[in-house]
Amino acid sequence: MRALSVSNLTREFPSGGGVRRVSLEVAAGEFLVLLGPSGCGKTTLLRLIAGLDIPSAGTIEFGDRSGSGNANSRGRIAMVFQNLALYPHMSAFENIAFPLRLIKLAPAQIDRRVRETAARAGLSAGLERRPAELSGGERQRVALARALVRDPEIILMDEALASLDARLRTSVRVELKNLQRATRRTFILVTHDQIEALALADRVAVMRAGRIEQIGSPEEIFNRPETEFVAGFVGEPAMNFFDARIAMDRGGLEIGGVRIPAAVPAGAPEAVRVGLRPADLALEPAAGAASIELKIHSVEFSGASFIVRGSLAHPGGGQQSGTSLICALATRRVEPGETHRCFFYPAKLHLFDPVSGRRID
Amino acid sequence: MKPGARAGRGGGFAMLGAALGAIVIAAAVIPLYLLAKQALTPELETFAWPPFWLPRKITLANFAQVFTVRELRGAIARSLGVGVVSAVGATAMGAMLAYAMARAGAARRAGFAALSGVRLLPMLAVAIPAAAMLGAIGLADTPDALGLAIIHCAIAIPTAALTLYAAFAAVPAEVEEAAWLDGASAVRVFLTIDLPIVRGALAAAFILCFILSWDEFGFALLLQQTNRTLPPLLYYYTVFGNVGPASALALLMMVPALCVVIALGPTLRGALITGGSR
Repeated sequence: MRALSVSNLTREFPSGGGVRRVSLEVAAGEFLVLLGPSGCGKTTLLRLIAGLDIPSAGTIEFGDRSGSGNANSRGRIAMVFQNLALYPHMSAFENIAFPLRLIKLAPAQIDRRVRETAARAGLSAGLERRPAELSGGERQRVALARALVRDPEIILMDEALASLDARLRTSVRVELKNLQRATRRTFILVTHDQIEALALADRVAVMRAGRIEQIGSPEEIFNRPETEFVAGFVGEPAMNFFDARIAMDRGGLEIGGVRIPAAVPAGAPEAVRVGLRPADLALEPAAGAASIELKIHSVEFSGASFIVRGSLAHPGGGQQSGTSLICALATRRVEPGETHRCFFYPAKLHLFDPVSGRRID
Repeated sequence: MKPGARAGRGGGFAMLGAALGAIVIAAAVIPLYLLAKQALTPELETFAWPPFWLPRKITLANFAQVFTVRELRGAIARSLGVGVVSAVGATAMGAMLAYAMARAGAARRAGFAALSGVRLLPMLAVAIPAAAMLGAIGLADTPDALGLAIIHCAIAIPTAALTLYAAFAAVPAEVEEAAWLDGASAVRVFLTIDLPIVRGALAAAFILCFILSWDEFGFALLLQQTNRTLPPLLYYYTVFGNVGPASALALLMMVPALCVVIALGPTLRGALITGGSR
C-alpha cells in the first residue's frame, strides 16, 4: 500500500538550495531515510511533505487514492523537528497531550493515551517536568511521543537524533527502529549521517543538489552505488577513487601504469573512474587477488583494524592516478614510511563514467 | 601572558565602572532624598537658608494634610483605573503588533516605521486637537476618564510593542510549526503557544505602560480639568505653594511602581534584558 507519492516536486530559493523535480514513492510502514550533505534539499523535501512549505511545481499525494491532496495532510502527518520544538512552557505530559487536547478528547482518555505513548517512546517518569528540566534523551522521547500520540500515518523526522551525544544516539537509534517495527507506521527521516541512514532505513534516498541520486535498500546503496557521489558519500572511511584506463585488449585496467586484470564492461569508455572501498583493500595476500603497492603515510588504530593511508609506490603512481591518499584496512600495525603490497579482488572495483559520474556495468 | 596582567586591567575597568555607577546612582537618589526630606520635615526647614542636608525635625503632618484633600480618593481611583485600562489595552494591541512584526518582514518594516513615527512626534502637539475631538464626542473630563485612558493606550502601544518584539522574535518558528502540525489554528498557536512563552515580557510591557500612564501629565491636565488624575492634582498643589504636602503626595505616587518593581524584580529584569523569552 502506498503512503505517499511525490512527483516532480520543485521548490527553489533565491539564496540557493531547495529541490528540483523530485519524484518519490513511499510504501505504508516503510522506513525511508533521506540522506545527503547539508544544502542538498533533504530538509526542504521534508518540509514540503509536512505542508510547512509550498512547492512551486509538482504534487504530493497521500494514501492510495490519488488526489487526496495536500489539504488534509495535517491530520495524517506528525513531525519531529531538528531542535525538537517542544513547548517550553508546558510539562512533558502537556506537550504530549497537546494534539489530543486540540481534538477535544475526554480528559481520562487523554491521560491514558499520553501515558501509553510515553511508555512506548521509553519515557516512564518525569512527565510532570518541563522540557528545560529534562535531559537530552528525555526531550527526544517527549518529542517522539508527541508525534506518535495522535497515531499519524506518517512520521517525519528532521535530523531528530542530531541533538544527542554519540552513545545515546546509538541506543535511541535501536529503539527508534524497534518502535517503527512495532507501530508499523511510515517513517521518513532526514539525516546527513550515513551510518544512521544505513542502520535505520528500509530504503535510503541519497540526495545531492536538490535531486535524488539513488534510492534503494541500504545494501544496494552500499554495494552497488549508482553514482560516484553516492559511492563517495556512503561508507566510512570513504571509498578510494582512481583515474584508470581500459587496457588496449580490453582485458583489464591500468591504474597508474599497473595492469589490473578485471572484467571490463562492454560499454566502458577508455578512461574511467575506479572506486574501491578501504575494507576491500587488505595487506594480506589472497588467492585471485590483484595488488597495488602503497607507500604508507599514516596509520590509525580504530579498534577493529588499523586504518592505513598511503600513496601508490610504483612509478606513474600517486598524483597521476587522480587520488591523493589511498586508504586500506590492515589487521596488523605497519609503520609510516614503509612500503606494502595491498591486495583486492578485482570484482570489488566500482567503475564510474568520469564525465557523467554514473556507474558502468 | 601573566595571569596578573589581565586581572589588573580588569580591576581597572571594574573600578571605573563602579565610579560611573556611583555617579548614576547619586543622580537618581539625591533628588529622591531631597523629596523625602521635604515630605517629612516642616516647610520652614525646606526653605531655610543656608539649606541643610539632614532633617532636624521629622513630622508626618504633610502626609496627614494630603489625606484631608477631598479630591484625593477620586484622583487615586481615576489614576489606577486609567493606568490599568490603558496598560491592558496597550499590551494587548502591542502584543498583536509585535507578533506580526516578529513573523512578517513587511509588518516589521511598517511597524518600525510607524512606531518610530509615533515616538518622534511631540505628544503635546496633538494634545489640543485630541482634547477637542474627545470633547466633541463627550469623552473629555468624564468622571471615569475613559477618554484619557484611550489616549494613554495609544501613547503606550509603541512601548509595549517594542518591549514584546524581541520576545516574540525569540520564539523559534519550529515551535509554532509543531503546534500547527499538531492541529492548532493560527489564532490558537498565538494564544496557547506564543503568549504563554512570552508571559514575562507581557508583564514587563504591562508595567511599563502602567507607569507611563500613572506619570502622564500633559494630556491629563488638558483632558481632565475637573475630574483630575494624580499628576495634575500634584501640579495644582505645587502651584498653590503647598510644597510639603505636594512632596508627600509625590512620594506616595511612587508607591505602586515601587511595589510592582520589588514584587516582580527578577522576572522583570530578565524580561527587559533578554526579551522575556524564558
